[in-house]
Amino acid sequence: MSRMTRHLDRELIEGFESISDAARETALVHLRGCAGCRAAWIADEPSRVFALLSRAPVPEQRLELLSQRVAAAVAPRERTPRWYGAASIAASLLLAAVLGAVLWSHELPQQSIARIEEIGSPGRMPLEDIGARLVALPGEESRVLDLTIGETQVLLIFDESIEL
Amino acid sequence: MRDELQLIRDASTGDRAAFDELVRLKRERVVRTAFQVTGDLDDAMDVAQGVFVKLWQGLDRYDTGRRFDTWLYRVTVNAAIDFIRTRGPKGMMQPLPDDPSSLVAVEDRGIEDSLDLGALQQAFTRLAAGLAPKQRAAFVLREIEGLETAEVARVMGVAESTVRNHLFQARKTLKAALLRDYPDLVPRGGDSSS
Repeated sequence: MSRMTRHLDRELIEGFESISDAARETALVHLRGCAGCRAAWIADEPSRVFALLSRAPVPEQRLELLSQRVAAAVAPRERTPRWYGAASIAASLLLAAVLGAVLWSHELPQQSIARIEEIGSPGRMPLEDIGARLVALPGEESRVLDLTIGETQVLLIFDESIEL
Repeated sequence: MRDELQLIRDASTGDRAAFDELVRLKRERVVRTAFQVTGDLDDAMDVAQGVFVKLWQGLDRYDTGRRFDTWLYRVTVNAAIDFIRTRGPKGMMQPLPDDPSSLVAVEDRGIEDSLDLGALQQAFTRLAAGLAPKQRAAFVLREIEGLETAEVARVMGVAESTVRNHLFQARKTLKAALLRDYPDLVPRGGDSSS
């Protein structure tokens, strides 16, 4: 095949860097088989000779093996559609917004608020009105606020001597 | 039969048949480029596999307004450079064996007046191992794959002047090593008028 192509003239050799892809391929085919043209072509730049490795074919069995490996690597974890990721984020944001709105608008039970205020200023509302009672342990400085509601008992102990 | 752009579009929507066809269409170029940058066919196979898996996962982000081959070269070259940076140079220690697994076709050898492409490939693998990874990649893209300098710059994501600098350094190193170690591959005083 190389013997059927023309020898490279000086003009082509000097302008080799700027010729078209097709002309380059034709010239490379000729250069692979023509020692004379090759010597003239690499005279100025010997490393040019490596361009002759262009388009070297890869063994077909290697290529088939690659396709099999790629198929196996891709199959177990199919690509997640892009919309799925966006939908997941949107759903998360919506859920967070709904929960936030619910929590923001949710009012604490009046009874609880009253009890907190009662601790700060017990004189403003009688404890018994909110179902709580303040007890003192015998011989102790502690004060215990009993906030029993139904079956749930919450005791708040106030004592300056307690070290946490 | 679908053209390349249609294959890309279909594959980007998750069409496995289109993706498989795209792999068949591009696999040789990817392996060949990875091979010339890494200097080892087994390593090139690993790089190529990673490239196509990445392609499958990221094809929907490909901008069809840009040249697909440029994008593919970029992914391949980056993966190959990362590979040899992790692995270290190999060609200097292990020249490519002269067997059918070599990229050079057997029928290209032994013809009178023909260059021994197997020997040329071995020489490149050995000598290119002495280049910095980016110099080697620039040389492979420009000289072996035949891309224009501007295209090499786009693939590597650097300025054209940087590519020219990489090429200058690579050619200088390879020229000295060729003349020193492989004078038979670069005979002087040819006559192109014969």
